[in-house]
Amino acid sequence: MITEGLAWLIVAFPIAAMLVNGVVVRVVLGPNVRYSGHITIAAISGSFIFSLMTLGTVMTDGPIHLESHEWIAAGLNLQFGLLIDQLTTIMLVVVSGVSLLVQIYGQAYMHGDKSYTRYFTYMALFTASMLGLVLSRNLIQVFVFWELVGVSSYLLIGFWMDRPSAAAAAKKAFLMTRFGDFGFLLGILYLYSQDSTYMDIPTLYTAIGSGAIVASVATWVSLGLLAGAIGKSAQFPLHNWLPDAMEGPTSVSALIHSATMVTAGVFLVARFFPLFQHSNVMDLVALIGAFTAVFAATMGLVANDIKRVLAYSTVSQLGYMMLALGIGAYAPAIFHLFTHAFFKAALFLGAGSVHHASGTFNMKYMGGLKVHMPRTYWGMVIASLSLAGLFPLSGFWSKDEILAHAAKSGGTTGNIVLLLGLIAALMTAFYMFRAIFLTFHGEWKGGGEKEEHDAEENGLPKPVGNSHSHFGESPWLMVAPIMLLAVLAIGIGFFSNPVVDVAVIDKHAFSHYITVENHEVFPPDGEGHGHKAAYEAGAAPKFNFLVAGISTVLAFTGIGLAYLIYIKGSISPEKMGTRFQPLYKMMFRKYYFDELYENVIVRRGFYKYIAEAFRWIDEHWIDNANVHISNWVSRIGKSGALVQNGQTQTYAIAMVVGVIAVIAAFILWG
Amino acid sequence: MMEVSTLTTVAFWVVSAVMLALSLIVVTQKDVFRAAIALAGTFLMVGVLYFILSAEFVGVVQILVYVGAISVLMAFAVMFIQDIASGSRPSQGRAVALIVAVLIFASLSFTAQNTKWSSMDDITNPLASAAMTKGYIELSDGEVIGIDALPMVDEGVAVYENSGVLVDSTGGLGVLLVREYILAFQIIGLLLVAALIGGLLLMRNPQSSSETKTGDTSA
Amino acid sequence: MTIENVLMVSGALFAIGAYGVVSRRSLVTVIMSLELMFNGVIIAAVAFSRFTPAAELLNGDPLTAEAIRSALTGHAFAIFVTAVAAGEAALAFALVFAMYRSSESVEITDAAEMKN
Repeated sequence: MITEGLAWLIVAFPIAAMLVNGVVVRVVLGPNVRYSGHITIAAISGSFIFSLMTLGTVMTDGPIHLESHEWIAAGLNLQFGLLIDQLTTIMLVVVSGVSLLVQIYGQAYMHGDKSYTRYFTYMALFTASMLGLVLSRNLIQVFVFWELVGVSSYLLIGFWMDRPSAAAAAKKAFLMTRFGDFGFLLGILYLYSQDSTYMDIPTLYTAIGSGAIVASVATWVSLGLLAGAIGKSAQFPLHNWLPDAMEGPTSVSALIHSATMVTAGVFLVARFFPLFQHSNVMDLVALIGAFTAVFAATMGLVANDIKRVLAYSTVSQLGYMMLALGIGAYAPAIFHLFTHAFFKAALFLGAGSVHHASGTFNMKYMGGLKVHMPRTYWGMVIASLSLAGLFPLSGFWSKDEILAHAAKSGGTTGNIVLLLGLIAALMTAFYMFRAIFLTFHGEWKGGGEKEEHDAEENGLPKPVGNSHSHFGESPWLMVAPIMLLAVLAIGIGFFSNPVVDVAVIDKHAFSHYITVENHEVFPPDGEGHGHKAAYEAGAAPKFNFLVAGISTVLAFTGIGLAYLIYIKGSISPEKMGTRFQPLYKMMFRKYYFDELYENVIVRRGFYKYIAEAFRWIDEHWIDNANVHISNWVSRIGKSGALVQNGQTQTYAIAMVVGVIAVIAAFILWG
Repeated sequence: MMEVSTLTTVAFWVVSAVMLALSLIVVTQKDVFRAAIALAGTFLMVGVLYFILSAEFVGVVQILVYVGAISVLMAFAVMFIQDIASGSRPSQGRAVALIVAVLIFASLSFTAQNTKWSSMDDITNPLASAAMTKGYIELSDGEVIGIDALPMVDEGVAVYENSGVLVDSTGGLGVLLVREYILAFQIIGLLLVAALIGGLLLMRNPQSSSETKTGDTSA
Repeated sequence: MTIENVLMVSGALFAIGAYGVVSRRSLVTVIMSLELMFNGVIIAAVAFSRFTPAAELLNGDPLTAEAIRSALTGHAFAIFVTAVAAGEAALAFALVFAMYRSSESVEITDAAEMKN
């Protein structure tokens, strides 16, 4: 059904949309044209349809094996091509689907913005980059699209260019991910130096299976890839660009920071899962993921900006996915990625809708919006419940599989990550419902106007992005995607990966599809019947009642705690804040990581010491060397000229000495 | 090895000593006139040395030309220039010069000592000696060969013992000059004419002459 | 009186002349030293012709051209060199006079126009 040409079209459609929007529409028709939105949506719809077709093809026929094309073949050996296996198809559907919904939403959200066309141009570029990334067959090609994704995210985060905070945030995001990409590139180069054919991913799979790559090589390459993943997925320690990236439009955050770009890191680790398994860094991956999950959740507990809460939540959930990959739970990780895309996108779009109504993002100035925007409210509640992991919503199934796998694998790492995962689950429930209660319940606290008013009074900087509040449900173009995503957040989890056979859907269909069917990554055992590797990666997880029970209890505890604090008011958050003042301050200030990176490392360490040292060397040694050398040469020349003093007798002596020398030579050496 | 009478040897060394002493006076004296006189004396001694070395005609020529003409020329120059100070150069210049001079002397002596000079003992070939003295060869079988077609063949033969030295060189020299070296002889004459003209040219008044100092420095 | 001795004497005279050329300041004395060097050379030439084996063989009149040539070449050389030296001395003094006329000094240190 799907041929290579059609698969390329998946990427080509959005690129074409970008070019048309950027070159034709913007230039000819102007920067605020509704047609640009239509063009992008049409293109992405096309991509979505073809993605579904690809999914169908792979589900029925298995992975599509395609050729690799030559790009450069002169000393440097680079190829490119398409790799369409099960992981690819899942990612394609997720990316194009969520992107489509976000574009529809964006038509209403960005309505009236003076750079409307540019928004859709960049959106098309981003979607194209992400789709290209998941389709790439060659590691260099992956890197090219990886960088393209980074560039598009820079352009989108800094969309409102006239805001200095937005520009700074975009630069920070780009630089920090670039830093991770440096490690990524080192890993790639090391692998290339081993054998240039390893750049081709299927070849790499075969090589790993046959044992051609030793553990040490795999470890170094995996570390490099992990660096890139940490950067892109905002794991610790390269996490603090993501909260700042909320400066971009909310729909951008919905697309990039929930479902697509940040999942690129998880995708990368999943794509190279055999390599990681062969190396020694799996524990490291798991620990980083688990730590990030808890770490980000703590910061989400005290954030006042609703988008920041969601950002921290994303980081935390990505930590879950990394954790899962680290303990070898490939299928649960991808499943969680799949479900997370839907409810997180729903939450972000909901936050945009809330902003539309209240004029602010600061939850302290919201409240009581439940009556004014019920559809948004229920959509976000459902998505939050799914995120918290309540039975039987989709988040429950995916998160639970991860925790169950952790419990099953045991060992030191397994137990640590299980514990951290449960703690993070508790915190997740709490902060999500804190956000919900603060936003929708209680009394209306003034909204955008009040916030500005208070800022002026107290001499604080004016909050950015505020506007007038108009109570009432947001337009249908905004609400419909939210509702659709919420419905998906309910059911997609159970129905794609059920624990029992449900009508036409097999038991554990998703996990099975992702692992057992994927022969390249999870080769079957000798006779072809057993699939030990696939099952170890979580193809058919057993339902662990104990873990499920504990996590459900924790979720309820979190929700209940939030209810007590923010609705009933039994425990005052201010008093708790003062009691735990230092801890609170630390969490509020994001553990001073921004200060660490910005002031200590960049300003002092780098600018002052390193750059200054180099400047000194350049000035005193290199520039002076030129002067010194020319002086020496001049002096040597002048002293050479002294030989000619014009005195005849000197010349006479010189001649005689020469003659004597010749005689002596003859005497001594004949 | 040639035998030389002791009288000759003594005379040689005495004359050499005087000659060298006088030449030292030439190069060290501050007063130019004294140097000029010493120079004349040196030339005289050199002439005597030539007589000791059996080169009578050369000795005569030496005295005629050097002592008679060149020394007078020196005296003229000295009086004409009226030098004030003609001392030697500063000490470091003299030190270098001394070292160089000693080196020259050393190398020449070394070369002289270590060269194998051909002597009578080397000429074992009777044919060579016959060529020197007779002009023709009588071979063992009675054949007579002219000097020009003389092969060099080693054959043992009795050596002439002769301790004599050249008795008369002037006649031989004359023969040589007009037979073998006639060309060089004529060119010398030409050279002297050129020197004469060149000298006259150099001595012309600068105002009247339009030529630059282009002297024929023959050396 | 071996040939080595004579050559050493001639070498000594030559060396003394060389010393004089290089270490005297006045041009006139330099030319005098030059003449000494000439004489040294001529003595050597004469010595060579005196001590050839052919000279030993001659007893009385020189008989063959060969003998004459080998015995008396040095003398001819001496004659020619003497003539040349005489011509050269004359011209050298002409130069001295010219220099004296143009710069009033005959010190060789002043003739340093080729400096550097």
